[in-house]
Amino acid sequence: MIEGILSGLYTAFTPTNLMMVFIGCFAGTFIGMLPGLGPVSAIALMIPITYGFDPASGMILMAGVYYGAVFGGSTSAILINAPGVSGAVATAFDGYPMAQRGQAGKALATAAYSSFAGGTVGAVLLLLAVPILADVSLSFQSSDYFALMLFGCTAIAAFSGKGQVLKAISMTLLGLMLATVGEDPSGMQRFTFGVPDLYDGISFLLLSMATFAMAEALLIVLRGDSGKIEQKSEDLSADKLGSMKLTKEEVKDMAPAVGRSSIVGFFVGILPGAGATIASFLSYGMERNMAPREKQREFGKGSIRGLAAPETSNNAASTGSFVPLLTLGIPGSATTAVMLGALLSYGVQPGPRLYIDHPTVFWSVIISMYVGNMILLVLNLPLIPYISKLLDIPKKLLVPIILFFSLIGVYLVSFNTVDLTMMVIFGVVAVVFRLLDFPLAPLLLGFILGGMMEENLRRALLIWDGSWAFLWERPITATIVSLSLLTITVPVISSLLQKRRAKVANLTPE
Amino acid sequence: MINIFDNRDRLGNLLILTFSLVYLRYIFDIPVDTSIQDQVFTARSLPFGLAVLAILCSLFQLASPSTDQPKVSSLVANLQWKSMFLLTILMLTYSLVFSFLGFAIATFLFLVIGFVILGERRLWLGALVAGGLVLFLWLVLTQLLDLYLDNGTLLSLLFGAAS
Repeated sequence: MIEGILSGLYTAFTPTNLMMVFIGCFAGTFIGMLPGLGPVSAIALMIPITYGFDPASGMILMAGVYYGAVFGGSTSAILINAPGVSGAVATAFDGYPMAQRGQAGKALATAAYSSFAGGTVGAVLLLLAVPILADVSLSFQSSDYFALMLFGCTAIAAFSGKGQVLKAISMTLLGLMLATVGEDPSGMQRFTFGVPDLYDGISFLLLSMATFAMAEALLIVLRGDSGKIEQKSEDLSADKLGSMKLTKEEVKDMAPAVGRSSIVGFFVGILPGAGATIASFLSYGMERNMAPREKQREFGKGSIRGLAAPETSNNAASTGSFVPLLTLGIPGSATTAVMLGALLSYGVQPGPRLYIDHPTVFWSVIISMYVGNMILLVLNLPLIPYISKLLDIPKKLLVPIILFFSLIGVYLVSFNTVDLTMMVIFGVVAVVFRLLDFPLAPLLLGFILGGMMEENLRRALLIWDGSWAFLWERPITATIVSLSLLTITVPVISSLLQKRRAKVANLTPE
Repeated sequence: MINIFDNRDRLGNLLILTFSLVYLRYIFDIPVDTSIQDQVFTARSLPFGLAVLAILCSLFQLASPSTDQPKVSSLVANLQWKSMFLLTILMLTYSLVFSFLGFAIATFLFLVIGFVILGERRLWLGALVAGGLVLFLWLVLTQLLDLYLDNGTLLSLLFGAAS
């Protein structure tokens, strides 16, 4: 392990990879700051660029982009009350009121320090947790992997939010169905309709770009809010941000919240599907409940503790979401799902063998996460007044550029213009589903897990001589399957009960 | 009677149901390896299971009581459909003419027309931004990253004719 860490350190600190973290953080902050474009879009836009890189450098760049985008999302939440990512919604609760009373600089500094603390604790916990979990998962068989992938699909559906569970299940199934297009593991063509461009299936990059970057840009056009951002950001000149220094009292006030939120965030982040949004809301709620009465009243009006808690938590959760990816090869969020796709395209199979077969990739990614946090702190914070100028670019110029980057990103990987046509169709369908309030992250997760799920199920059935008994006779598989069933049935039943109660309440005369 | 098309959840589930039924129909076109006797898991197995689950799931949601939510008609009423439609056509055209016009010309036109669709009236500014971006990307992609970019049939024809 020590040898692996040293090799990771050596790789992460090479000038090229340090530059990757630097560029990643910077580009991520830019993209994440644009309302609507979050870490998923930012990483998806980076994939074509990293195809020529070695896996370690590519993953380091993407990890940097991830952190940068999370930080960028918080910046727009604080400055203009427009969270770039859902994980930064809770940041706006107290960050924006602080900015309104002339403490934008202080709010940004609090966000940066909290993010750094959350990322640091997260990175240390990741360093400790990943090898242990990876060792345990080495004993996993195909049936266990199948069960784990099932768990990944059910968990993202279960955590998808109030009233969204059944819709998320449908979207996961849709993603799994799309994953069956192309040649199956036995060499049979499925749903290709004789079109050679479909023989290799639908590219994950195409789907992720269409459902996130392209759909977001089209939604901005549809909602016609191209003028709003320019108006709001008119008064964001560097001298109007105010001081970025925190007083001793303020640091003392936020320190315990930062400590608690780091741990909560990390463990929530580990849960597949939970991610930064749930972690940030959970920490915000927890800190509000734990605060003394006079401090409780400040929540929602510019409380420094209310800002530090979600910021710490969402960064720690971002780190935590790498645990299932690196140890089990199962993405815990849409962002890590895109990263999983990128790793697979590099020829690297994430999972328990990753840190044995590719120790350099494994450790350098973990170490570069910490480096990324440091770069965000020392580089981005002083540059915020200048980076925030990005919000001045009119969307009528920005949207076509985003659409172009989405299209050219896919083209540069496949060099096939049919992919571009397919992408536009998927993009429009994604917009329709977004308008109907159907979540798209489960679709992407289902699509990415689909192939692996089928392969492991096929192998498990072969090993068990065609019998499905492995589902209840093999203890690890049975436990994970039971967990999956529990994860999915509890929210479904509670959602149905809620609907029923709402209907009864509507029918009851007052 | 509930207007099925005016409820977001129902309309979405109806779309998924339609897709699943079409998907189910085409499962029977998947060839099966008949050389292996008593095959438990074939190329049709997973798609069939997924289609059945998706159909059941959407039917269940269609049948379950709907919650109060904004109507589809009110949600889509104030949206800028014209701009989105024009941009979609522009993207489709870009994908179709890319090979003929080549990266530089197709991208330049795509960006300038895109800016105009979204309301940028200063053509010189659009042309400047588009031209600058195309030049910058062309240099980065071809000179720095050594990637191949299609020059297009048009340029080949023109230069071919000239030579």
